[in-house]
Amino acid sequence: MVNTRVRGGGLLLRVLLASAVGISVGSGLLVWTRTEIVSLHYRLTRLTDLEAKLRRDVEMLRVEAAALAAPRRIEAKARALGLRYPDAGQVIRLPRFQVAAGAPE
Amino acid sequence: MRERRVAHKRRSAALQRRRLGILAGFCMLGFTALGLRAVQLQALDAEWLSARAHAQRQATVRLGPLRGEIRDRHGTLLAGSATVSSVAASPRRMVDGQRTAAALARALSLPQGALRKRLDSRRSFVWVKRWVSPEEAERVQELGLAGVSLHPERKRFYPNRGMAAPYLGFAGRDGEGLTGLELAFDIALRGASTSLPLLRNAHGQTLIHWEGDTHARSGARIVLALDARLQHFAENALADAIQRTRAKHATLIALDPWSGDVLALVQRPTFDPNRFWREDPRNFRTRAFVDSFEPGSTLKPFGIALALEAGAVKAGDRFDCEGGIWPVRNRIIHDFKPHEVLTVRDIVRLSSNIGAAKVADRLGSERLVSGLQRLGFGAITGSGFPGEAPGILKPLRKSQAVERANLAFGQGIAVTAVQLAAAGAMIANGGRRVWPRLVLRLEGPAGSLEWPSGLGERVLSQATADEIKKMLHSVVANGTGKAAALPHHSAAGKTGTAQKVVNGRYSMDRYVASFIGFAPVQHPRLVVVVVLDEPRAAHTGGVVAAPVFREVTSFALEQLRLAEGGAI
Repeated sequence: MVNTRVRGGGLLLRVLLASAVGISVGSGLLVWTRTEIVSLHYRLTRLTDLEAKLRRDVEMLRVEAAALAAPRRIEAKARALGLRYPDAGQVIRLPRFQVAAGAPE
Repeated sequence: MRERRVAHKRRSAALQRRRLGILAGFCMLGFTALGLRAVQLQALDAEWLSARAHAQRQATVRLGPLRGEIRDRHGTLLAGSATVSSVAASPRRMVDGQRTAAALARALSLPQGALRKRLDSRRSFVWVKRWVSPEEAERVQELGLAGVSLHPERKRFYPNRGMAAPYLGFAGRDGEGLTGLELAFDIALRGASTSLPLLRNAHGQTLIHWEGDTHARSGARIVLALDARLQHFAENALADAIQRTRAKHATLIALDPWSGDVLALVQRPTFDPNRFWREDPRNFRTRAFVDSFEPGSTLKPFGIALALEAGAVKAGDRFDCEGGIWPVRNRIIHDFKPHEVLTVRDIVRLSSNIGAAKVADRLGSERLVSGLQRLGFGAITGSGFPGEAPGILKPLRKSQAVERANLAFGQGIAVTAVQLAAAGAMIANGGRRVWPRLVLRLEGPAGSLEWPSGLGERVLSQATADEIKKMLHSVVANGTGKAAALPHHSAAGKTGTAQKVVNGRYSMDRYVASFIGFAPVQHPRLVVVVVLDEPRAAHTGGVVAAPVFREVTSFALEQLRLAEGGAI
């Protein structure tokens, strides 16, 4: 009689423990998944930030490049180097090079 | 005894098992509760909690759209936009206003006193400095001051500074076009605003967090007909002319007579649109479109063209120019130099006022005025430029002989430089109307919209246009416009020197000197109008304006290879 009770109690205990372990593992898995999602979201956000920053840099660089290539600036630099506009007639247009048929261009 | 001991042991073991069972049960319940709570937090209430957290740390700002670029016909960037930071403060949320003001003043190179005064208020939002450099933004970020935040904003940049500034105009701090082409094409350039999420920390400071594609709603790109190389050269030429002549201001417009393309539009003095708030607002006006002036003799070829077209005169007809003095009713008309009998050709070549007035007499008031209207005077050109002035061209009665005579040599009429250029293009292309074309195309995400050519219907016959071209060629070859002659190409043009009206009377010492010309004569590629207001050193169009035409046209024809049929 006693043995049956003990055996019955042990089974219940094992079932309960197994359930607890199952629930814990399941919950752990769920929590890990969620944590991983959050962590990936942070990474994604950082990358999006970086992308946006790079875009902004491109915007600024485009403007800076245009400012550096401004005719006024180029002319000032050229004049500082002793260059000047060519006189009338000094600009000679070369004839376009004729590529022979079949020759690589 | 032994039995009692065994029974006691059994009871103890059973008690221990029961206790273990209870403990395990509690543990299990605890784990189960924890697990269920985790499931509740991570799965069931996850969205709600996430939204709550999001709301606590996130703010949204409305970010103006990235304004579309403006480029010249070869792709040179004339106006572009970028996203920059602005520093704002919430004085209410500041912990120590004095310390914050001192730190910000150091980081942003601002006067500390003025900044402290601004931050002393109890307002919830104050701009500290807008459009700061990336370095300044970084310094502010590192300070980590409570109640101070960085906000993303759009900024318009004009990399060529003053080049074509009155023509391009500028966009305000909030990204709206305020003048010039920026205003004319504001809707296309502007795009649509976008909402940008920002992160807030525990102190309520806003941390920049650029999420999402902020480019998605940028405005369309505008490709102008303008040629930046010609524009730059013409700017230099006009700046030199201003220095030489000490004129109050000067305007130059260059058109392609076959398409109406505005290849250059220069104005001096100009301004830097990157810092428009510090510039003289009088320079914002695009004078070529909005300022009317009496054209003087540059109008003569058009009156004579109308007389030829109507058959009222022939090119070889001779007119007595009265030795330079001709009384008409209560007024005496003078020629700058006295002439006796001149042909119509010579009237244009030598710019005789009396000769032009006599030709206009033959044509008659009504035909003269209606003809000038047909040539585009007294009405806007249809360019679409904002605030374009129609000029002044009043109807004349047959009996108004003095007014008719005045009109023949460009008095009592007001024109804009762009009207004059469009009319000149009409002569240059053989008699077809020209609408100034400002823009070649709009390029948006949905595709490209090409602007139609500005070449319109025939207004003058080819024969009349050719005859006027010959006359204008003689003006440059051996008339009043010799200073416009080009070293390697033929040129045609007309000088103009108009007295300005001051307090209702023609001034004797204030003039508008002008020149309208085109080249090469056989197949014109460029029409240029030069206007100098109140030149001091010399005041005639032939002396002060014609050399500018020569310089700019020579550059365009020879160095940009326009004369050889090169694409500008």
